Amino acid sequence: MLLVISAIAGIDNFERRKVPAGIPVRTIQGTVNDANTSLPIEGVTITVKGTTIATKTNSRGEFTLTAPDNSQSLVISSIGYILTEIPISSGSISVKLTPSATDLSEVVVVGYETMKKSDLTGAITTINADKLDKATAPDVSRMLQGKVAGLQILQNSAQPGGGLDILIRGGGSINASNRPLFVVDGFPIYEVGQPEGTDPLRYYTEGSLGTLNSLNPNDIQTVTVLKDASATAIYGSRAANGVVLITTKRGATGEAKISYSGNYSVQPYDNRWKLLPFKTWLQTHNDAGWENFLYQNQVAPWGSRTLEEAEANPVAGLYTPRFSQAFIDNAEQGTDWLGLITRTGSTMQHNVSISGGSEGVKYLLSGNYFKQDGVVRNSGIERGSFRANVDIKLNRIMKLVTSLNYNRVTNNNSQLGNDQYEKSGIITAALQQGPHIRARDETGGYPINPDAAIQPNPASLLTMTDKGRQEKLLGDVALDINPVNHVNINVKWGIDKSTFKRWMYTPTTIVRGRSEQGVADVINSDNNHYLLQATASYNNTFASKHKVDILVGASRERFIDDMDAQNATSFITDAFLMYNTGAATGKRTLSSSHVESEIASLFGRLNYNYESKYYFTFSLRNDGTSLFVQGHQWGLFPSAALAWDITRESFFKFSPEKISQLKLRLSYGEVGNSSIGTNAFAAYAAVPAYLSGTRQRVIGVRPDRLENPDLKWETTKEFNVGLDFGLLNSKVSGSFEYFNKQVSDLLDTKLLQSYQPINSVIANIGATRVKGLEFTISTLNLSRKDFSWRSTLNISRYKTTWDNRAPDWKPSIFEKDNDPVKAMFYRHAEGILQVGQKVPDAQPDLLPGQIIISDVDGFVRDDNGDPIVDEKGRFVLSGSSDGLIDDADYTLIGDESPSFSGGLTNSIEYKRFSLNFSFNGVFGRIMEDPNFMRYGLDASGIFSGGQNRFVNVLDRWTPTNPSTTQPSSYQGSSIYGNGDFFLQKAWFIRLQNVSLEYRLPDYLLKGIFSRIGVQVGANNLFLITPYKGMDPETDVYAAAYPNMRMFTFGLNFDF
Amino acid sequence: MKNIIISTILLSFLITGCNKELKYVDTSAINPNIFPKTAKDVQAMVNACYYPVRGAWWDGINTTSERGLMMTKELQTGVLRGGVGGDDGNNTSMNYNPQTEAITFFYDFYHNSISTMTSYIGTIENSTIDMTDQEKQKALAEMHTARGLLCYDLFDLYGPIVVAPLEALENPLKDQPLARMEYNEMVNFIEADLQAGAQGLPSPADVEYGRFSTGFARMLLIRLYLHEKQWDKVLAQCDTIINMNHYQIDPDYVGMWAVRAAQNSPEVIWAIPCDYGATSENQWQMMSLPGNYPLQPGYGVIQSSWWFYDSFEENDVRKTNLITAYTGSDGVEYNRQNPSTFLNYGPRPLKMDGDWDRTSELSEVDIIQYRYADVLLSKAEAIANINGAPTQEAMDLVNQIRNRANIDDLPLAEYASLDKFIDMLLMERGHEFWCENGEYRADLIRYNKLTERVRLIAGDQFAEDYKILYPFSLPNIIEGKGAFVQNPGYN
Repeated sequence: MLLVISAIAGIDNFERRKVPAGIPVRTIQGTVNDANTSLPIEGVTITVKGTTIATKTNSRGEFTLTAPDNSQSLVISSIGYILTEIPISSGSISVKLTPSATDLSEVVVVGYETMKKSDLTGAITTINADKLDKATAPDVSRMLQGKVAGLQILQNSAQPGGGLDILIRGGGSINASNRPLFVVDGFPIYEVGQPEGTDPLRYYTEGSLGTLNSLNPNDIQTVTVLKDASATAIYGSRAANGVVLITTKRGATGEAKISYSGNYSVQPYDNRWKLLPFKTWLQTHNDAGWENFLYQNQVAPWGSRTLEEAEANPVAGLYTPRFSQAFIDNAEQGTDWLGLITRTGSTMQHNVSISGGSEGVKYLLSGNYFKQDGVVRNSGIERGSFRANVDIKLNRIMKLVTSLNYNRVTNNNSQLGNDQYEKSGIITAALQQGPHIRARDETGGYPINPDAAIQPNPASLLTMTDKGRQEKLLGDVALDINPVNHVNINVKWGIDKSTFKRWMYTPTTIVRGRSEQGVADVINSDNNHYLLQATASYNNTFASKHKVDILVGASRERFIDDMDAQNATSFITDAFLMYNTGAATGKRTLSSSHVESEIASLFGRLNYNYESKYYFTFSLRNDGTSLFVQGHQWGLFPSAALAWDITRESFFKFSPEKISQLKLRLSYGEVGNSSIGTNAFAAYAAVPAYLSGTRQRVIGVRPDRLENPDLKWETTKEFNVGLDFGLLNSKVSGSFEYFNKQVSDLLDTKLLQSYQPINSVIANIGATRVKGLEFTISTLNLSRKDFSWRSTLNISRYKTTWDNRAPDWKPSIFEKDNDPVKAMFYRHAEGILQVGQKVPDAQPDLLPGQIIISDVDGFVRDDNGDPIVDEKGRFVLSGSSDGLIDDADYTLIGDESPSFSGGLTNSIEYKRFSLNFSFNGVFGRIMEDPNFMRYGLDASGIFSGGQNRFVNVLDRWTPTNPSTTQPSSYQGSSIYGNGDFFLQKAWFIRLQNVSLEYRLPDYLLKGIFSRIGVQVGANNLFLITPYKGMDPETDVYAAAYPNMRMFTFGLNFDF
Repeated sequence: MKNIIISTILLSFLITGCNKELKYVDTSAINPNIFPKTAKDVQAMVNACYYPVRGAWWDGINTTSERGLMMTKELQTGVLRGGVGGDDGNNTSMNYNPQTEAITFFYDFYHNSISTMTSYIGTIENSTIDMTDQEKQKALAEMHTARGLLCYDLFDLYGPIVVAPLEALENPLKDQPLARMEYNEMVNFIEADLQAGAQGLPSPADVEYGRFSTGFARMLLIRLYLHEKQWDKVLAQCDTIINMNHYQIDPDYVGMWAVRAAQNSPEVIWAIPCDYGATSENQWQMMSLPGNYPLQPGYGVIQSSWWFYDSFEENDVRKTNLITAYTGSDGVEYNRQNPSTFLNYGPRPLKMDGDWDRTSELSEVDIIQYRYADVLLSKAEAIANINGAPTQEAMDLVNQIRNRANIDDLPLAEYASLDKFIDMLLMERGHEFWCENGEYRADLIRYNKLTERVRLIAGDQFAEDYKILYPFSLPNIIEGKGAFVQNPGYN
């Protein structure tokens, strides 16, 4: 918001800069066009060299300027173009601007204010939203994937509107949220998720959803990522994980500009899960049954009995194959469960905006409709949003700046999650339901698999109703006062109100619905966030050398959350859905809650620079939160930064053609974190505890939460060194950052002695350290007439380790003080035990076909064989193998966090065509394939549970197929575990999106349109990875939502 | 200029209120400053002591599911048996170690409830809450009994456990690793709790259905003394209960598990009331019935064993609800000859009424935990052990139970040796109490017969004598910092 205010103020200043009276003048006219595309450029600043006389181009790229008669040349500057100087000639001047890789005069939001990019002292990256692909996903964070060094975004669910794990510079926090703070137009956004159902025997999870689905990406002007603590410290208590500032578009003086953009995407379902074909399944069912008989009766090599002995006295009867050979030979087609629950997905979006304004009032109105139907049936998201940004000049010194945003997001949830049995979601059920079960029977019912009776028929899950609807009203009004030159006061009030409803109905067609005669679940949550904020700033330049900018401010935020829910069962008909809970005859459960909390803050910042050569920034923020007990509520968060523009030094001899920028930055700052999802106060909870003799509920009161009187802010102390550079007249530019941050007083659930009635408490449990490097380089690779090619490459690497632990930390023997935070501890797997091979001493119960684990170490033990501890109470490694497979045999083999990640975006312009494509990649990562682990390994479930499996099970170890790469179906019975046997490399490079746009030539626009563009594009087109599963990014659990390619057609035009 | 800055600063203070304490409100929590204050609050604390020992899949230890004591214990007695692999199968074959959560979780999940009770007992003993001595004594007796019950259940599975003293509980943020109790100390502790219950609880005639009575506390004492083979004490408690003249053998064995029947049975010492609303749950119908069972399908989780079924005499009514054959909803007749995967290990151990009219997975058949029949059989066992051989009185007690099951008297002459009598008595216990409280496992352990039984049912691949005591999970060892010693064999 403040960016906009300042920008407006800036424009006004231009208009005041007239030629003093009495000086002879001339009028200069001209047009400015893009050198590559020849399109007119709006908003280009034209300055008469050596003066402050300036103007801007209009939407047709035209400008008119009155300059002193003796003026020599004009300086032409615009964001994203190389600064150009041209001599003033008579007649109309035509200027062609060449796009630059970056631009230093760009204005960047830095928290409550804006700054010129060249004046920055902190680690900040700004992305212009024009560059983002807005067609295929509702959440702007998706679009930032791979675009910003140090911003790691991994998609954890491929469902429509699916969730994202967003980390700025690694996750130093352990339990307290690692999510960055999102600030939209100066308003910290308070995102709530879809409430979970309250059915106590609830079946399904809805998968995760992106939290910014409620923001229309088309409204966004810029996204700025504040990374180091000097940049984020102004946001104090909630800035520990970085800050993402989003500014929305606003109106500009001029005639109304009407824009439309629309697109349509299709997402074909391309099955990559290779389930057993029906005939093979039938045969494997018989084979697995026989194997089961041999294994269970401990027939050699699985035991010492002979087949004859086993058949004489079988454990559970003799084995007869379920399917005869004749049946198998004549079998035709089983049920294609995946086919039944999937479809071609589609996405449709329309976006309209109208903006314009006069001297007094500027406005932007926009509307957006987004609808996506996912590749899994019943999954979808629909958003309608409306925004009105209006700026009103009240008088000479006062301006009113208002934003109003309403949106509605409706989620259609299909039943996801990796739970099994009665909680099997639709994908889980479809993957594991045997192909011998029919989708529907003669009466239209949904047959269940009697061998897995608890698991719902996958097709029946399509009859489930599960909708979530979020309505969000985000409104704020700010009064901006310019009482005198150099001083600006801003008072802002805002509300962020979200209501989330969830409607669920499990009909009698589904197993659970049948046994309860229908289950209805209705949940309402109402979340209100109020902000009152005031800032005052003063900026001035003294003696043309000392530039000073001071900001002070205060804010107070209140959060009021209410929830109520009802659950009811047994209805005479499914037709009511969840809309008639009064007609329930079964059990009814009601619940409600109410929570209020608040945050208050005081903050200030001083920016100073000397001749744009030496820069200094100091900021201080004091934050209070009601989550802690009095005395620990307030935290103080200071920061300081220095920057040195070396090119301005007299000793710097390189010309801009060689080195155009060289700026060194140093910063240190402290920020806080208090997002613990609970509070520090003791409490009892009242629960229905028992039934009376007449079956009335009686309430019991149980201890629920311990007070932690010492609980205080988690604090991040971060040191950052940065170097910004520009080479070859800014054709190559970039920056390099090194940071080292310590997150101390980590907030986490600390385990107390387990015998305590409440055996965990939120506490400050130690410190972690994150060290990292970030590198960004933007290049103008080629620039010819009608052709240009620009690229930006970013790479970031960080490592998060423990720095110190709580004094009473209770480690396992394999854990060390300085382990990675996301340490991967595994035992070493040596291979598969073959028949005749000696059973390892340390694994007396190991059977052929199971995995051999290395006995690498042991506990130091006393005479009784009990492990002994050192003076800290920790167990001690003996350093040598001890004939036991236990905790001592785990070793640190890696870090779940990738060792580095990066992105590459390319933009190629040729005449009226522009081609954009971007890659993102994550490297140095190992993981198990969760789908293979569940469906590729063990064939016994085919027999015992009538389930389906991947074709991989055909490779399993059996006495007649002594595999060395895949263990037997009974690996799961080994008490020694799998070790690292199934880990595989999971780095990947993804072509995230590619789009080609063609802009229609002017003669076709007929003067009505100022622009018409047509686009085609594709999303997630291909993936390069050694990983053998579905997708190394979204395979977060077994049966995760499949991540499919998407193809887009789009159209946009401006009036 | 100055004015502007000053007014901004003033405005800032106005907004933040500066030194004011920031407010946090959570209406769903009870603030310890207002609790406990009244006799009603104390009653809520007593109710909370029933919470962990009720039946609930997640957090009620007597749940009739895989997370409950009964099923877990019966999986090793041959009454129930798991298939190949999986938690049930591993339990049946004794394939477990300290990382087998299905085996270690009872201790991990429930032992701190003992501490809750200890701290509640401390609170009530020292409280100045306005209540009569009688109310206070009853509240304390219920709490002691609940604590004795939970301690006994965990002691039975794991051996002596950690019981935290009040001093350790008063300073929870201080890390104080504790050792498990000494064996005798543990037994004495449980005994003292149950004695407090036996003395302080109302008589069975005066107690509300579902609540602990003095009869129940004494029944638990019997179980404890059986466990410790303190036969004189077993006998004394049996006689005390018998002399209450309150309990009787219910002539209708099967009928005790009809819907809501336990409430009216003269034989029931303690049953957990259950309802469809999931306050306290019985889901055994879902566990035991196969998915293609015609009247109401179940989850088909567990089967009995054919060995167990074959051990019944032909006319024994107690096997009525071991379902050996049925016509599935798919129209197929399943039986021992055509078991498919539904009856391959054994019959379906329904035990109770199907509650066929329910519109819920849960049932309103109450979970019967202890019955008077146990008192009589315990007395028979005590007499035989005290004498070194069974007497006619002991045999009569057994025959009383057999007669109710519609089977003939056994002659003393054929069971004259203690070994023979005990073998017969153990089988009788198995037949009488199958799928009730799982105490059959303790009965077998008492005569060193559990490992033998496991070998018989599931083979000798994993069966070892040390596995009679379940292992503790590793976090207990780690937090114990050397003070907490794992059970032998699991290191």
